[in-house]
Amino acid sequence: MTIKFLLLLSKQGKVRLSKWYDPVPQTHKTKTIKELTALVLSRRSKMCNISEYKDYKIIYRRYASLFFICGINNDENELETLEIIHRFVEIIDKWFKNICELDIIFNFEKIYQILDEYILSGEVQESSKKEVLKKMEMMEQFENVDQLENVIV
Amino acid sequence: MGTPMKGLQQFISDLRSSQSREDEERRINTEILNIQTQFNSNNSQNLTGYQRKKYIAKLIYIYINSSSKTQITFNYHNQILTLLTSNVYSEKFFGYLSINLIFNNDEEFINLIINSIKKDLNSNDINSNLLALSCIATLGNQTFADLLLDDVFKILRSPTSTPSLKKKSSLALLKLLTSDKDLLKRHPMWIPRILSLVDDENLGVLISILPLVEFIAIEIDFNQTQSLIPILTNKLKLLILERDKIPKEYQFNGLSNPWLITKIARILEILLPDLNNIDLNSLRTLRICVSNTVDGSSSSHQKDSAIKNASNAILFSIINLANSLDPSIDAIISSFETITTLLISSNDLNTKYLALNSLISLSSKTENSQLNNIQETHLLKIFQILKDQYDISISKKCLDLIYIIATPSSINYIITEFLKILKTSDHVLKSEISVKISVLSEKFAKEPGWFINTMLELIDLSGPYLNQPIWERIVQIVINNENLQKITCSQLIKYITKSNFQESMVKIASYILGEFGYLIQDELSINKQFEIFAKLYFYVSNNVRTMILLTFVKFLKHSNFDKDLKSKTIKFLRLEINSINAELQQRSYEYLTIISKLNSENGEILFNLIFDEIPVLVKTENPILLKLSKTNPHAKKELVKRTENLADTITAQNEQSTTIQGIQRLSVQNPVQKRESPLTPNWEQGFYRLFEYNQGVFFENSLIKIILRIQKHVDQKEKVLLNFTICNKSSNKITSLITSLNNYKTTEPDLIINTIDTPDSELLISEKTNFRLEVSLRSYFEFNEIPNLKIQFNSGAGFNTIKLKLPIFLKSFIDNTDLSFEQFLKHWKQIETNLNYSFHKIINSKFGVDYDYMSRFLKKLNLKLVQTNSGEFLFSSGILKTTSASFGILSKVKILTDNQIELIIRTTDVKVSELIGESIVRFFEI
Repeated sequence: MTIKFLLLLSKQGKVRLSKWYDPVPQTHKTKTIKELTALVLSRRSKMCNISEYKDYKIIYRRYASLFFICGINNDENELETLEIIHRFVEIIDKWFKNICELDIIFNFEKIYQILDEYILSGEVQESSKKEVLKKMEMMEQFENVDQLENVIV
Repeated sequence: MGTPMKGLQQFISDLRSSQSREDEERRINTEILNIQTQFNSNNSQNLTGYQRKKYIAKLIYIYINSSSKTQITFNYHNQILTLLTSNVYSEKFFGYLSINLIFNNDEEFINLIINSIKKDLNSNDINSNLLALSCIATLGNQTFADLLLDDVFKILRSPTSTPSLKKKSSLALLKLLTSDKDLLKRHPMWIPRILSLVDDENLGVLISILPLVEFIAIEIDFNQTQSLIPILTNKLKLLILERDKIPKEYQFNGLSNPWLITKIARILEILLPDLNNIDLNSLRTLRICVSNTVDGSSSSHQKDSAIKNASNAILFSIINLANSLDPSIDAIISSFETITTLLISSNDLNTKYLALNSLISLSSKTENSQLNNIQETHLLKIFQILKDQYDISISKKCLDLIYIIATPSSINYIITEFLKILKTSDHVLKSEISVKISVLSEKFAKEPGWFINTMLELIDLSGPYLNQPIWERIVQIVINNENLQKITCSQLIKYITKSNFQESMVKIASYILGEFGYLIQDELSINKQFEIFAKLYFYVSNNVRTMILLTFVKFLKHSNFDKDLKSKTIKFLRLEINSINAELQQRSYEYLTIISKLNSENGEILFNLIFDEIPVLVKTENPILLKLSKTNPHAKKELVKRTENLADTITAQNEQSTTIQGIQRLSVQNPVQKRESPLTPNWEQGFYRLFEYNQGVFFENSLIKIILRIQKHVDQKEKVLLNFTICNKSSNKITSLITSLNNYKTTEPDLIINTIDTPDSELLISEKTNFRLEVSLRSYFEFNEIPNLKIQFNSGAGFNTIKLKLPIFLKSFIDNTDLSFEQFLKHWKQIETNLNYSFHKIINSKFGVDYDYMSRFLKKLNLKLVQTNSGEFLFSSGILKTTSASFGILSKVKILTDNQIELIIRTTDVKVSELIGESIVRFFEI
C-alpha cells in the first residue's frame, strides 16, 4: 500500500481532514496526529518535504495555510507521493474554483468524496484530473435528481 | 451535498465564531443533546431523510474537526443503517461516510452492516456499487473477505463493468486479499484473469490494477506474473517514448505520467531479478527507455518545482530499474556518477534527499572495491553537504551514506570529521552520529588503542545525548580483551578528572576501574583511585552512585582489604543506608553485611566469591547494532547486514588470548557444574566417519544437519580448522542457535580451541550457517579429553540440545614423511631395542578388510606407505606435530583374515603409541 494515511492540518494545528487506510484505533490516530503536528509545524519552510516518523516516511507540503501530510511506507517513492499531494490540491482547487481553507471546512464531505475518487485503499485510483472531476459532476447530478424527486414527492 | 444543508452550515459557522474553547464545547453539547432527543423520540421513524442526513453530518463534523473531548455516547447506529439502505444517493453517501470515518474500528457494527454492503454490491445501480466498493477498499478485513470476495471479483472480471467499477473493484479486491494471503491461493483461476487486465486501454484502470499485480508478484505467483514483462514494457514505451499517443489528461504538465511510470518501473524491477526471463526485444526497448529518460533529465531545466519533482521521481525509479537491467560494474559506476552530479548540482532539497537515498541503495547493492574508490572521491562532497545542512532529514541520509561507503582507508578521515561535527551538532544528530562512530570504529579498528581513544572521545563529546548501548558496548569489549584493560584504565582516569566530566564516562570508569583498576596501581594507587570516585560521588545521579558503591567494594578487594580503604568504604555505605533510593539502600545494606562478615571464618572466601572478577561476557548481539536496526528497520536493514560480520573484528582478533581464559574463569566460578549430561545418541556415526574422512556429515536428525570439513593448516601442522555448516532441515525457523564447548579441560589443556566464527543465531527454513573452530595441539591427549560441542536452538515450539564429541583426532595432526624401507627398518629396530615403545594388538574388525582398503586407510591417517616388496605387511610412517614436540610414528600392518588385522605401532613416546593404536582399534571395533 502506497499511502498509510493522509492528513490536512491548518497552520494552527487544526485537523481539516484525516483519512486512514489501515484500521487503527482512535487513540493511535490522536497520538499520531498530535506528534505529526509538532513535527511538521516545527520544520522550516526551506527544509525538504520528507521526514521520518516511526516506521513511516512523512511527505508533506504546505499550500497557503494548510499542510497536506502523507504517511507512506519506507520503500515508497517520496517524490511520487509529493506529486500525489500536488495533484490532489490541483483537483480540489479546480472543483472549488480557487479553494481556500473555508471551502474545506464547510464542504468536508465533498473533500472526502473527491479523495475517494482519487485515492482508494492507499493507492492512486485515477491520476487524471479530468476523470475525477467528471465523476464528481456526475454524482452532483445524481444528488440534484434526488432533490427534484424530494420536491415532487 | 447537493444544495448545502443550511443547518449544518450554520452549525459550522457557530463553532467557528465561538469565542472560547468553553463556548465551542457548550455549542457542541447542546447540538449533541438536540440530536439525541431527535433520534430517541418516539417519532424518530418520522424523521425525513434530509433531517437524518443533516444530523449525521453534524456528528461527523464534530467527530473529525472539533478538538472537543466530548464523547458521543448515545446509540445512533440505527439511524446510520437507515441512511445506508436509503434509495436517495446523498443519504446513502452520508451513511457510508460515517462508517468510513467514525466506525472503522467498530467491528461489531461493521458486521451488522455487512449485508447491506453486499446488497449494494449486487445492486443494479452503479453508484451503489461504487459506494460499497469504496467502503470495502477502506475497511476491508477478513470478515469482509469471507462474505464479499466473490462479489468484488465478479465486478472486476465482468466485461461490462465501467472503468470506474474496474478501478474501485481492483483496489477493493487488493484490500481483501491482503487480509489473508491464502485467499488467492484458493482461487488460482483468478490470477490470469486479473493479470490480463493490465492490458486495459484505460490508463486509470491500469494504475489501479498495478498494485494488485505487484501483490501477486511478491506474494502469490511470481512466475505467472513474469509473463507480463512484454506488456509492461510496452506500456512503459508508450509513456516514455510515444508520449503523443497518451491522452492529454494523463500527462503531467507536458511530462509523461509519473505515477504510472514509477509503478511500472518498480514492478519490472521486481520481475527482473536476473535477465533470464526477458526476451531480447523487451530488453532492448527498456534500455532505450532508460537512456531516453537519463538523457532527458540532464537537458531539461525546469523552473516549476512540481515538474522538477515529477521528472526526478521518474529519473530515480528508472535508474533503479536500469541497475537490474545492466548490473555490470560500469553501468553502476555511471549511475553513481549521474546521481552524484544531481546531488551536488541541485539546490532542491527533495532531490538531494532522494539522491542520497539512491546512492545508499546503490552502494549497499555492490561490494566492489572499484566502486569504493569512486565513493571515496565523493566523500568530501558528502561531508560538505552534511556540514552545510540544518535539515535533519538530509543530515541523517548523509550519515547513512557515509556509514555505508566507509572503507579502511577512509575511516580515519571519517571519524575525525564526525567528531568535529559532533561538537557543534544538535542533540538528534548527536545521537545519530555517536551510534555511527561507535559502530564504524569497532568495525574498522586496526589497533585496540585507537578504538578505545576514539570511543572515549566520542563519549566525552556527546555527553548526555549518548545512547546507553554505546557505553555498554565499550565495557563489553574492554572486559573481553585483556590487552585493552590497562590503557583504558589510564585513559579513563584522565577523562573523569577533567572539570567538565561526563556522567556516562563515570559509569564506564566505575565499571572498568573497579574490575581492572589494580592494573595501573603503579601509576595511581588504588587508594588514590578511590579518592577520585569519592569526590565524583556527590556530583552524579543515584543511578551512577549505585555503580560507584560496587566499585568501592571491588577496590577493597583489590587492595587486599586495606584498613584505611575499608573504613572509608564503610563510611560511604553507612551514608546511604538510610537513602530514600531503594536501590542505594539495598546495596549499601548488603555490602555492609558482607564486609562485616570479613573477620568471621570463611568471610573472606564469601567476599571473594561474591565480588569475583567479572567473567568474560559471552558474545551476545552488539547492543549498538540493535539500536541501529531499531530506529529504522527498513532502511537500515542493509546497514546492519553489512556490519554483522565485522562487528566482531576486535573480539575475534584477540580471541585467541581470551577465549580460554574466559572458560577458565567460568569453570572456576561454577565448580559444581561438573556433572555432564550424556552425548546425543548416534554421535559415534559422524565422529568415526570423520576419523576416516576429512569431510562429511557430522550429525543429522529431523531438524538439522551438520556438515564438517576438517582442514589442515598449510604451514602450522599442529593446527587444524574445523569448518561446520549447520542446515535447517525442519519446516520451522530456527532461532536462538548457540554453540558452546564443554568438557573442556582448561588447566594446562592439551588442546587449545579458538572460535573463529560463530554461527548465525537465526536460520530460516533450509538456510545454512557456518562456524569455525581452530584447534591447536599442545600435546597428545586422551580420548576422554576430547571436548564436547553443545548446540542449542529453538525450532517451532521446542527447545533442542545436541551434544556431540568434537572429531579431534591425533591423526589429524600427523604429517607424512618419506622413508625408504631401509630407513624404516633402522628406526623400527632402534625404537624396539632402545625404548620398546610399542603397541601391539590383533584387531577384530566389524567389517571386512583387505590390503587395498588398509593401504587407503593408512593414507587417510596421513601416514605414508613405505615401498617394499613384501606383500604380507604394510609399512607406513609419519610425524605427529604438537606445539611443543614432534613424534615419529611407524606402523606395521598385517591382515590375518578377512576381519582380523595385526597392528604394531612404534613411536618415540610410549603414550603416543598407545593413543594412536587405541584410536585405530576403536575405529575398527566400535
